[in-house]
Amino acid sequence: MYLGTNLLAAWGLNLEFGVAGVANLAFIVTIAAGAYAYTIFTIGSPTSNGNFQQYVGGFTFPFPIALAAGIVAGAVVGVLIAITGLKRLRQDYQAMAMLVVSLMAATVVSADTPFLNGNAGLVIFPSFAPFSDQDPEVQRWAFVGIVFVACAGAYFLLRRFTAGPFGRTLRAMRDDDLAAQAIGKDVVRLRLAVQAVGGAFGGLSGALLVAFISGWSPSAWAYIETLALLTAVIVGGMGNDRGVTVGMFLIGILILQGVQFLNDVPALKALESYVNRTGLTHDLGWIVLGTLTIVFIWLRPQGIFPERRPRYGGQTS
Amino acid sequence: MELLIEAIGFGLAAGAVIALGAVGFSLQFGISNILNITYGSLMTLAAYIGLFLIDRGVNPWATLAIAGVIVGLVSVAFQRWLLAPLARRGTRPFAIVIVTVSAGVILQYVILAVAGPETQSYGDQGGQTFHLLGVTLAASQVAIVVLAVVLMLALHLLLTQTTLGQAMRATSSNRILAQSCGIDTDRMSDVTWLLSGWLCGATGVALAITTAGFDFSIGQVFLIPMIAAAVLGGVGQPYGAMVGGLAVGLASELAAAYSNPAYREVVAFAILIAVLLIRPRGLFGAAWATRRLMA
Amino acid sequence: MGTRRSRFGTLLALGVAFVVAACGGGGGSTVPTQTGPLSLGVIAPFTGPAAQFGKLLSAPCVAATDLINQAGGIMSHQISCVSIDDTGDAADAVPNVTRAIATTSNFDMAIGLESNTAATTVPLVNGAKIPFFTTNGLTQFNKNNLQYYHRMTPGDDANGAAFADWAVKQGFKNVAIVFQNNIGSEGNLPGLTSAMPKLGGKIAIQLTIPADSASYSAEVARVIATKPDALIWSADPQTTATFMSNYKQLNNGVLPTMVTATDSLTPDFFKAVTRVVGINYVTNNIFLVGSYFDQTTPAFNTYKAALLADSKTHDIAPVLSTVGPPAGAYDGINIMALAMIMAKTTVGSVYNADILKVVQPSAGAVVVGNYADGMKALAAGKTIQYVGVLGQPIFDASHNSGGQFSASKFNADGSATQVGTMPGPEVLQLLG
Repeated sequence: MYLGTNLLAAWGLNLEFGVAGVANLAFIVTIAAGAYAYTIFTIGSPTSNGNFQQYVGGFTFPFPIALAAGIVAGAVVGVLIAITGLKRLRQDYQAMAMLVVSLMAATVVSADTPFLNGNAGLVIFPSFAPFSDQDPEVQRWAFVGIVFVACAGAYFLLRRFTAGPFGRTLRAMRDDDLAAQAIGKDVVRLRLAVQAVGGAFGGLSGALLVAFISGWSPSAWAYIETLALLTAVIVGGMGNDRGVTVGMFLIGILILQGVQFLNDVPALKALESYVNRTGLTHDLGWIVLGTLTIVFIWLRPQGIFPERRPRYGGQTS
Repeated sequence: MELLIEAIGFGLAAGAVIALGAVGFSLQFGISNILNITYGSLMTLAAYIGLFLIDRGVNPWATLAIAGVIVGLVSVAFQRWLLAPLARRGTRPFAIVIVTVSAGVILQYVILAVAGPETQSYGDQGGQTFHLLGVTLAASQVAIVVLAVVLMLALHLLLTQTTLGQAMRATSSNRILAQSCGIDTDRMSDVTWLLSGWLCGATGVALAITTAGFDFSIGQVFLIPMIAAAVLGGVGQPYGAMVGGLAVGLASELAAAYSNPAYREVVAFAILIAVLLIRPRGLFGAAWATRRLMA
Repeated sequence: MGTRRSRFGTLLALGVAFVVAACGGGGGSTVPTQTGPLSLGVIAPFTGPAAQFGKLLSAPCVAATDLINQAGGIMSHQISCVSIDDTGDAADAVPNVTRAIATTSNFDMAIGLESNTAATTVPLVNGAKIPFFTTNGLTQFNKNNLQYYHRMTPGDDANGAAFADWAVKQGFKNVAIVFQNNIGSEGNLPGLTSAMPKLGGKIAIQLTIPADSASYSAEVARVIATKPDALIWSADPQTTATFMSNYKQLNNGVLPTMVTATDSLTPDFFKAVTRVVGINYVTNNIFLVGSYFDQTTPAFNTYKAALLADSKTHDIAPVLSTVGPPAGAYDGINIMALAMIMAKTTVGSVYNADILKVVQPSAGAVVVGNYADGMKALAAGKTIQYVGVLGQPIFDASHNSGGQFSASKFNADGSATQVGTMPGPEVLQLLG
C-alpha cells in the first residue's frame, strides 16, 4: 500500500526530473496539496466536527470526487511551482529555490492556523473513509486494490508520455533546451505541462495516502522526504520508469521500513542499550540512505537501470 | 518607535551571525562553483565541538577559533577528496548538490546518534547588558558584531592587498585563465576552503552562544537564512554576503516585532525566492557572473 | 516503446510487489491465542523530536509489569512491554502501529497514544479491538464513542483553564501568554483564554512563537512592554532556553514568574533552562500545572517503589513521582489486568466490558490500590474497586476521567513537589 503511493510519487518526480530535467525539490508540496484537498473535501464543515479544528472549506463529497480534487490540487500546485522556477536558472540554483519553496510552504501552513489547522494538521474521521463500514481487514485489502488500480492506470499513462513523441521532446528539453527551442518547441509550455502532470501524480499519491492514514500534518512533509524520493529515482535509474520502480522498492521498502526489522537484530539492540540511545536504527536508516546516494552518484550516476535510449534506424546513441 | 529601534538592534546582532556564515558560504561558491549544503551540518559539528571544549573549561572565544580550525580542515578534505574529483569527472552541478545534501544528512544523523537528541547549551554566556541609543545588546552579542566586522576587514585586506588574495580572486572569477597565469589553482581552492571552513566553524559556535540552547538540527535550520543572505548579496561576493546578512537579520526581527512571530523564518525564505526570481545575481553580483547562474 | 510482453512482465512484477508489500503492511491479525506471554504495547515516540516522552511513558509499563509478574502474572500469563515507535508524527506512526498490531502476539493491552499522534493511532488501536489507556489530551476526544478507548488525563482545554485558575489564585491578574505553535499548546489556548476573563484576569499579550529560532528578542521586547505579572508558557526546552536567555538580557536580569504544564517536567527541560537562567529561578519561580495525585497513599508508594527497584527506571523515578500521565498509564495497566481476571479471558474484545466494573464504587467492594491486592481479592470471590495512584477514576460517557489539578515546583534534582491543588469541577466550570 505504501509502495503504491510512493511509486506514484516517484513516477511523478521522475517525469519531472529524470525525463524533463526539472529539478523539483518542492515536489513534496504537490503531495501535500493532494492530501489536504482530499481532506477538505471529505471532512465536512468545521462545526460539524465539534469545532476543534480550524480550516477553510469543508465539504462532504464521496471518495472518487475527493480523489479527483486531490489530483487537480496537485496539478495546480505543480503549475504554481513551475511558474516560480521558470527563470532559466542553473539546475542547482533551481533546486535551491524549489527547496526553499517547500520549506516556506510548510512554515506558512504551520504558522497560519485558520488556514489548515496549523501544526496540528487535519484529521479525517474514519467514518468518512471509504469502506469504513467493513471490517478493518477488508478495508485494508480494498485500499490495496484501489492503489493497485491507480498505479496500473498511472503506469500506462506514464509510458505513453515518456516513450512517445512527448517524451522525446521532454528529453530534448532536458539535454539542451536551447537546441530544443531552436527547432520550435515551446520550452515554457512544456515545463508547465510537465509539472502539471507530475504534480497530478503527486496529488493522487497524497490523496490516497491520506485516505488510508486519515490524518495529515506539516511534519509529514519535511523536505527530507523529497530527498528520499530523489534517492530512489537516482538509485533506480533516472529517466527509466522500470528503474525508478525498482529504486522505489529498494529505498521505500528495504531501507525505510526494513530498518524497523533491524530493531530485532540482537547485535544492534545490544549496541543501542550500550549507548543508551533508542532509535539508533532509525538514524542508521538515514545514514544508509545518504551514503547510498553518494555512492551511486560516484560510481554509477545512471542508476541501476540506465535510461534506454530509443534507437533510430539501427544507430545506437 | 522604541520597539523599532530595539528591533533594529536585534537585527544587527542576528545579522552579524548570519553574515559570518554567509561570507564563508559565498567564498566556497565563488571558488568552486558549488552550493555546499553540507555547510549546515558542519556548523552543527562546530557547535558540538564547542560544547565539548566549553564543558571542560575552555574559554568560549578560544573555542570558536579551535572549532573553526577543525571544521576548516574537514572542509578542505571534503572538497579535495569528494567534491573536486566529482567535478573533474563532469558530474552535473545538481548531482554535486545532492551529494552535499546527502553528506549533510549523514553528518547530522551521526551527530544525533553519538550525542543524542537532547537540547544542549553552553549556559548563560551573555555577559553584561549594554543599553546604547535605545538599543539593548548583551556583551556576547556585541562581541560577535565586533568579531564579524574585524573578520570582514581582515578578509577585505587579504583579498585586495595580498598576492594570495589576488590569486584567490583570480581563480574565483576565471579558473582557466588563472591557471594559464601560473597560479596554482588547486592550492587556491584548498586555501579558500580552509578559510571559509574556519568561518563555518566559527559561525557554528557563535550560533550556539547566541541561541543559548541548541540541538543536532541547528546548522541545517540556520543554513537557509545564510544562503538567503549570500544569494541576496550575490554569491561569490563576500562583501555582498555581509550586507545580505544584515538585511536578512533586520527583516526577520522586524517581522517578529510587528507581525505574527511565526513568520520570522518565512521572511528569509521569501527574500531568497524573490532574489532568485527577480535578480539572481544579487545586489552586488557583477553582470558577467550571472553566466554561471544561468542554465 | 516496450513490447507487449515486457509490459506485461512489468505489470506482473508490480502485482507481486504489491502483494508482498501489502502483506507486510496489512497482513491478517489472527485472533490472539490464550497461551504464552501477553504483550503490552507502549505506543509512544522513541525517535524524532518528541523522543524523550518515549522513555517517560515506558517507565509505568516497566513498573506495572514488574509488579504483575512478581505477583504471578495474569492468570499465569507473564506480561512484557513492547515498544511501538510512533515517531511523534501522526502519518509516520500508522505503518509502525499497523505492523505491530499484525505481528505482536497476544497484544490485548496498550498505553501511550500521546497527543502528537493520537489522531491516527487511536482509531487504529480501537479498530483492532485492543483496549487501551491513552495519555493524550486532545479536545477532539472529549466526546467520543470509541469502545476500547479510556483516558485518565484531562483534556488540553481543561489544562489551559487550570493555568488560569492557578495564576489568578497566586495573584497574577495580568498575564502574558506565550505558546509555541505545536499541538499540545494549541489545545491549551482556548481553555486558557476563556477562563482568564471569567476569573477577573487580563491577558496582557498573547503570542505564538515558532520553535527553535536563534533569537526571540523582538517577541521578548513586546512582552516586556506590556509589564505582565506572570508568563504563561508552553514550549520545548530549546525554545525556552533561548527565550529566557533573551528575556534575561533585555530585562536587566529580571525574569517573570512562569506558569507552565507538567509536560515540561522532563529532564531535558530542567537541564536546559537551569543552565541558562540558574537553579534559583527554576526552583522558585516556575509553577508546573497538571494532574494532581496524593503522594501519601499506599498505591502511590507501591508505584514509586517499583520504579526505584528496576534499574531501567531508577533514575527517572523522582521525576515520574509528580507527572500525571505516566501514573495514569500505570493505573490503566492494573485496571486492564484486573479486568482480564474478572472476565476470565485475555482477549480484548471480551474483557473490555469489565474495565469499567473494576473501578466502580459499590457497597461491600474491597478497595484495592495495586494489582497484587486486587488479584487476591478476586480470587477470594470478592468485588473490587480499584483506587490507584491518580485516586478514584470517574469515567464519563466517553470513558474520560479528568481528576484533580495541582501546581508543583521544581526541586534541585529535577523532580517536583506539589504546592497546591485545584478541584476538577472548579476548573471544568471555567470552560463553560
